[in-house]
This record gives sequence, C-alpha cells and structure tokens, in this order.
Amino acid sequence: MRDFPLFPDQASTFAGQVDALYWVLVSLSLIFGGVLPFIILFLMVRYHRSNKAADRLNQVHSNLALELTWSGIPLLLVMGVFFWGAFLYVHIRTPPKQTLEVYVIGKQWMWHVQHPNGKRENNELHVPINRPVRLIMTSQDVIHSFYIPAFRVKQDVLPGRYTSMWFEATQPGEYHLFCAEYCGTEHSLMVGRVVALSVADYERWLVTPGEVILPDGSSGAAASPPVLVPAGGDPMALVGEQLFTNLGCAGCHRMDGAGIGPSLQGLYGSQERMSDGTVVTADENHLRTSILNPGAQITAGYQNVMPSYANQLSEDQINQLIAYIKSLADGGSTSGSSGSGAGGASGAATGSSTESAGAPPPFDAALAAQGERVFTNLGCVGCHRSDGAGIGPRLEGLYNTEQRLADGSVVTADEAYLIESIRNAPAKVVEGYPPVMPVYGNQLSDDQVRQLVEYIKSVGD
Amino acid sequence: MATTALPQRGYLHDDTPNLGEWIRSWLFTVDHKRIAILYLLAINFFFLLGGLAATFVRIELITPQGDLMSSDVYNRMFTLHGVIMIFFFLIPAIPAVLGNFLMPLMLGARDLAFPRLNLLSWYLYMFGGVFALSAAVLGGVDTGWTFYTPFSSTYSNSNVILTITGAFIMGFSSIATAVNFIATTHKMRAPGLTWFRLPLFVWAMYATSLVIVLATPVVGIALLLVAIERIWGVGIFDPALGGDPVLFQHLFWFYSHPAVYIMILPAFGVISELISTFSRKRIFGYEFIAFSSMAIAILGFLVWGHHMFVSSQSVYSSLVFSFITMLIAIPSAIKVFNWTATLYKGSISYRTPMLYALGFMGLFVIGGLTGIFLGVVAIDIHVTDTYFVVAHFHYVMVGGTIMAYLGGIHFWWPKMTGRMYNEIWGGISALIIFVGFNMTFFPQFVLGYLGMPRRYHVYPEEFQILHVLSSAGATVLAVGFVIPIIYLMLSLKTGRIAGDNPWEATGLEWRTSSPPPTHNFEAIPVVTTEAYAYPPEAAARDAAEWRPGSPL
Repeated sequence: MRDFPLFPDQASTFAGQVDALYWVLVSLSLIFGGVLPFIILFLMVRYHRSNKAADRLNQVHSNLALELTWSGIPLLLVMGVFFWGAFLYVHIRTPPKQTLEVYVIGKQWMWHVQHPNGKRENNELHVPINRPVRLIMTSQDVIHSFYIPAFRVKQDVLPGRYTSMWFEATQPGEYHLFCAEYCGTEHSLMVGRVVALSVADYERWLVTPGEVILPDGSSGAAASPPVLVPAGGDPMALVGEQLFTNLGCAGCHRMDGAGIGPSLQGLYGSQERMSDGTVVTADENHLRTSILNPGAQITAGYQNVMPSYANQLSEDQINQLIAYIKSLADGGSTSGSSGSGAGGASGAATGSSTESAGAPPPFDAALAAQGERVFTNLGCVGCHRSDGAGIGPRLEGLYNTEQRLADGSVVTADEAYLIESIRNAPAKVVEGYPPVMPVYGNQLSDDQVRQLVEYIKSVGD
Repeated sequence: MATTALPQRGYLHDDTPNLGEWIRSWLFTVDHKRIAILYLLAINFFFLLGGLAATFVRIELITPQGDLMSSDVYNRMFTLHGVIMIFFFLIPAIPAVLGNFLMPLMLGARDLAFPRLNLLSWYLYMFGGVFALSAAVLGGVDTGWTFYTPFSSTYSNSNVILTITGAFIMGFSSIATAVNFIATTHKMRAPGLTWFRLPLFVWAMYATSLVIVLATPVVGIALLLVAIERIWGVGIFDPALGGDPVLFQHLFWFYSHPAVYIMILPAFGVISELISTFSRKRIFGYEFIAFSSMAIAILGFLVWGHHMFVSSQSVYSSLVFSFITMLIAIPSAIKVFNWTATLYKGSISYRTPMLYALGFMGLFVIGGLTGIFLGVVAIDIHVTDTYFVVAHFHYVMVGGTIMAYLGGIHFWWPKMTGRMYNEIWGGISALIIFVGFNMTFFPQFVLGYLGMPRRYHVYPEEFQILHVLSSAGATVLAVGFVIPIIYLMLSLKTGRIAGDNPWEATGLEWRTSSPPPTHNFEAIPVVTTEAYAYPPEAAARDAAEWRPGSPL
C-alpha cells in the first residue's frame, strides 16, 4: 500500500501552534456539528407523525431567553477563537530582528531562489533548521503563492512588489513546496521541495557548486536554449554594489550625504519623511518603488530628478541592488563610496557609449579609456545617459558643438568648457536642464579631469 | 378590483392553434409562472453542463498523473465548471425559478410588479449564457471563475472576453429580477399582509434582492475593467502597465462574497417553509429568522477581505475582516437553532422535501463551521487555496443551496405542475445525494489540511487514495442527481393529481388551484393571520390521524 497520510508533517515552529488551534476548533465543531445532528435525529424520531405517544400540546413559538442563549454562547466562543487566532496571526506575520534573508522570484512556472551568499537554486529551497528564515518574494509575471504545508505558511507572490514571510524549520527533511495561486497552464507543475538541513549541512550546501537556469534566462527568445549559470556566484550584496557603481547611482547617492540624492547609509528599515509629508518605512518595497518609479515617493528635501530604471533591470538585479542597500544599513559600508579608484570597474562595458562608431574627433585613446572608468565610478552615467533621457545632457557628439545655456548665451563645448563644467557645473548650465550637478571642484585631480575630457571627446555619434 | 372574475384556467393550459403560436405563447409570455418554467429548463440545462465538466475533473483526478486530458484542457474544465455553476446555476437558481414562481403567489398578487422586465431578465440570462457557452465551444477559458489579474487581463490566451461578457450580461438579469422582487414586496402585498405576516421565503428573497442590487454592479465594473485592460492595454491591474493586481481582488470579492449570500439566503427561505410545513406547526422564532437574513445581508458586505488573507493585505485589515467574519457566523447559527426548535413538539413527516431540509441542516452546519476555520487568519494561511476551501464552499453551495433548491422543487412541484412526483424514488434519491455528497467532499477537508492545493491537474501520489474516494462519491452523487430528472419528468404524465394543497400548508400559494390560473387568484385574498398559522392542535391531530400505510 502506498503512503496514505491523513495529517501533514509538523516541521516548523508554527506547525504545532496552528494545529493546536485547529484541533480546538475541530473539538468545538464536534460539539455543535456532532451533537446538533443527534438532537435533530432525536426530534425527528421522537416527534415523527407515527409516534402518537409524544406530547404535542403547549407548543412554544418563541423564547427570548433561548434566543439570547444560543446567540450569546456561540458569540463568546467565536470571539475566543478569534483572539487566539489573531495573536497567533500577528506572531506569524512578525519576523524576528535577525533572520536569514532569501530572495525568491516566481515566474510561470518555476521558483527561482537566491541566497545572500549568491547561491542560486530552482524549484528548491534549502534552509537551516532552528534559524528564522525570511523570504523576500516577487513575481515576474502573474500572481503566484509560495506554500509549504509542513510549515503551515503561505504567502501570495505578486508582480511589481515584494511580499515576505518567515518561518523557522524544526525538523530536517524534505517537504512539499507548492504554488497555491492558480497561475496558468502548468500551475500544478510549479512545485518543488523545501530541504531543511542542520546548520552544518546547510553551510556545506551553500558552498557546493552547481548550475541553474536564471529566471530571465529561459524566458526571452524561445529559440535560444536556456542559459545555465554557476549556482554559486558572488554574494548578492557585492554584485549589487557593482551594479550600483556601473549604473552610476553613486554619483547622486553619495554616502557623505552631499549628493543630490539621499545617502543610502543606514537607510534600510528607517522611517523616512517624504516630500508630501507622509512617513514611510524604507523597506524592500520602498526601495523597489524608488528604483523603478522614483517620482512616486520623494524623500523630503530632495528634487524629483532621478530617472526611472524600470525595464532596465531584471528582478534578479533589483534584488541584488536591494541586498546591497540593505547591507549599508548594518553599520559601515562595504567599501568606499564615490570617487574611489578602480574598485568595481569589472562591468564598465555595460556603460553606455563604447559601441559608438563613426569618426570621433582626435583624442588620446589611453586617456579616454581611463576616463571612461572614472566616468562610471563617479556615477556620471547615472545622469548623463546615452539615450538622452537622463537629467543631465547627453554627452555623445557633444564635443565642439554649440550649446545654448540657461542664461540664453551660446558657448562652444570645447575642452575649456568641459573642464569648467566638471569642476564647477552650476556656472554654465545647458538650457533645459536643472542645475543639479554637484561641484566636483578639487575632488578630482587634474589628471582625472584630463582623462574625463578625453573620454567625452571620444564619444562621437 | 378584487372581485373581478377572471378566466380560471391553469397557466399551463394550452389553447394555441399551432406550434408557432405555442412557441410564441411561451417565449413572449409575461406570466411570472411561465417565465419561472423557462428559467427552470434553462437553469437545469446549465446545471447538467456544469456537472458534466465536474465529472471530467473528478475522473482526471483519480490518478496523480495528468493522463485523461492535457493541463490546458483540465484548466478549462474546472473554469467551465465554476463559471457555469456560480453564474448560471447557483446565483439564479432559487430566485429565478422558485422566487419567480412564488413571490406573487405568496404575496397574493397577480404578477410581479414589472412583468415585461421579468421576461427581459430571462432573455438577458439566455444571452449571457450564449456568450459563456460560445466561449467554451470556441476553445474555452482557463482563468478559473475568479478571473484573477494580471493572469486574466494579460497572460491568459483563452476566451476571457467572451466569458466576462457572458457574466456581465447575466449580472443585469440578476439585477432586473431583484428590482422586480423589491418593488413587488413593497407595493403588491395583499390586503392585511403586513411585513411580519410575510412568509420567511419572502423575507429571504427580499434580503437577497437588496444584496443583488447593491453588489452586482461592482463585479460588472470589475469585469469591464479586465476587458478594457485586455483589449486596449490600459494599465489598471497589471503592474507592468502601472496597475495594481490586488485591486481586482478587492473589487471582485466585494461582489463575490455577498454573492455567496445571494446563493444561500434564498435557501434559508426555502428551508424555513419546509421545516414548518412538515412539522405541522408555526416556525420557531419568526422575527429572529427574518432579521438574521437582514443581518447576513448587511454584514455580508463587510467581510470580502477574508478571501485575501495571504494576498499581501495588511495585518490590520486582515484582523478586522476576520473579526466581522466571526460575527456573521452568529445569524447563521441562529437560523439553524430556530429550525431545530421548530421540530420540537411537531408532527414530523419524512416526505422528500423534508428529507432535503433535514439533509440541508446537517450539511450546512458542517459548511458553516468550517467557514469559521477559514475566518481565523492563522488557520486560513495554511488552508486557503487548498481542497479545504473547495470542500467548505461545496458544503455551503451544494449541501446548502442545491439541497434547498431540490427540496423546494419537490415541495412546490404539485403547485407548479398539478401532479405529485413519486415519493419513494424521491426519498431514495435524497438519501443517495446526501451520502454521495459526503463521500465526495468530506475527504477533501482531509486533503486540504494535508496541503493539497486546488486547481492542480497533477498532484503528489500520497493524495491519491483520498482523491479516489472523492471521485467515487461523485459518481454516487451524479446518480442521485439523475434519478429526480427521470421521475419528475414521468410525473408530468403519470403523477397523481395533486389538488390545491397536498401538504395542507398555510401559504397563500396553496389557496389557489394547482397549477394556478394565469392571474393567480380568483379574488385577491385578504390576510388576517400571520404566516405559518397552524392551529395549536394541528400537530397532535396530524399524529392522531396517522395510520400504518399513510406516508411516513
């Protein structure tokens, strides 16, 4: 005979608590649902029309005391059950301060998981026992629901925002992982397993190499095979920091607070006042909104100048950025901030302009290459976007053209103008742009300014 | 006026010269009784269709693999089952068939307030049905009856628009019927028929009508917005377009939770009539039953969030919705206790309608109690979107609404057709349905707490035995549903002539002939007593007159 369970495993700290309430409800139900039918059966037989002996005189048609009794007692009971359930619910929804955070992305029809150390897995979730784990979840397409019956936890996973849930596994073992919200054709195959391991086994598993398909690797072109990547990548916060640098976020979000965007140091989890007077908690959803739709929530004292990164970042990358920003909250930053040398230049090729062809003006190629790195690391690229949608002017094809300034005058964007604009931006602001670029004054050496100018000269159309 | 003599021929009497005229006499009738028969035929057709889809679902689930059909076909099957059963059977069943037939009769009126609107409502129902059916025929729809966004609005490649249009049009049919009932109840009660002399069925229909009128427009708008997003890509629900996917759930459940009461309140009304008649005594706690219907109608609007405890709703909202959900259990409990008390010192007969009423009480108690489990958030987190929910709402919908519908059909069958059905087969099929129903759905509570998610085409092997049990029960249940179709049809030809009042019941509908004349009453009756005015000695006399061989 095959396995035939009638009651689910209890494998988390919640399971016993939820089941206790469940059994109390079952018992109360038996008192009503079990006894009432017998009363009905008794009356059915006792007062059946064939029973002539029954007393049918002096009928009662209403009785206020009786009505109040059978309204009042159930009311008291359901209130008791409600408050018990309410306290348990608040407990289930309140994660402890220190949790292991794991990022989950749902998509039709798989689960993708990334651990803080960069380890990835698909349709599986490895967790240590006896440690609270918090899942930060989002969906790439429709609504899914992350359900682990043995842990008694379930949370819908929504596109466009984060939902989270936490649990603490108690028993090593393998448990079902289900998608519980109907999500289309293969809904019933969007399943997997949760593996609860002892802490030692978990640590070992974390560094075991493997390969997985990235959540966006298999979604795009149907013709190309899914991209396999090593499961054990760099820690999420580190990858996030590289992204932060390459996207040029550091140019405005300076850690010293002098940038035109708020400093992100210690931001996560704090209460922030917005420009409309509301106060929001800087949680994952606030960070996400601020990256994808910056105009929605402007921190008080700052301008609405940040460009939207919607459609430029995958869910995976947003998770990494957020992991990095969260890492800034726990004391010192992981590395220096703006202006540091070649710290995270590995992804410089994702900058905007190296593909430019045509015949750019003569320039020093070696200096220009160094200049590009400076340009990226300073975060200039965050505002001076190659698609012209940034809050600063596009620099491609700028050199030696005539530019109209905010005061109406016209200048030629020669080397002298470029140097002045880097050193003291507010002096000559191009028409149609806000005077928001910080003064780089003496932060840059003459060499660095030289390199930047050569780089700007190198980017023709 | 009331004394005007009208031709006294049964409303079924056929005096048309040819087939064309006969068809016209039905399709263009404004007689509420004929329209009720039209509804009866159409609604039962949809019930059989929805049952057929359920049959395929249950057969597929006998094995854990997806072997009978592909997952796409399976998804279309359970969606078809849900859409048909909810929108085209459960919501209209009791109001449109029994309500249409009985409201004017119970109120002592010649027809509903707006007879043409009544006919229009049937055409709207059929028109909506044609849309829903064409969606099914042209390839089906795979969103589930809940149409959750952004799946329904952006991702699904099926006939969402056609189905939504069907449900949208059908909503207007409900609204038209409800408006008619409200106006009729207010304006067309017979002389002396005060509010507290109304049969409890009328109270229930009145409460239902209020809910329909207030809630249905919301789902109409919600479905319209889905269509707008789907056709024109206007960002309302899909976050990729700037929308909010949870907004749809709020709008949808703001209707669809009250819709649960649209389905069950009329059933309460039917059960009150049946219990009183077959106990041969006045109903216990008339005012409490009447006001509990109104309480349910009002509170029913404030609990929609209990469908969304894991949807990212805030903790505070969930607690408030959970609290109000606990409260709404009380008026339902009050009804069950009052019905039970009605049995005391009655003279109970086990006629088929009473068997359905007693079955209803057993099943509704289980359905209601498991509703409390789901209202407690901590437990709901585990069991929502599992078979526990499926079992719960089938206990309420099938164990409640369908039991009451069948009980009502049997009870008023002699009035509607003038003939008695076969009492023996009636009793047998009521028992088969009761047993088959419990076999089908009780195992699903166990499945649900084990964690088996709903809408799964393929499932882990350890759930198979419970699924096989459930499918076996469904077979029994199907047999129970087919038997009444046969003996009820046969009764039209061979049934004993019923007479005006075969149950010796008290309602005004029993004071006219069976079947009633087109204009219901020879003279508008004057009401001088409250409803269920059985004399105090009625029960004792009934028992004294019982002889071996009389009906049980």
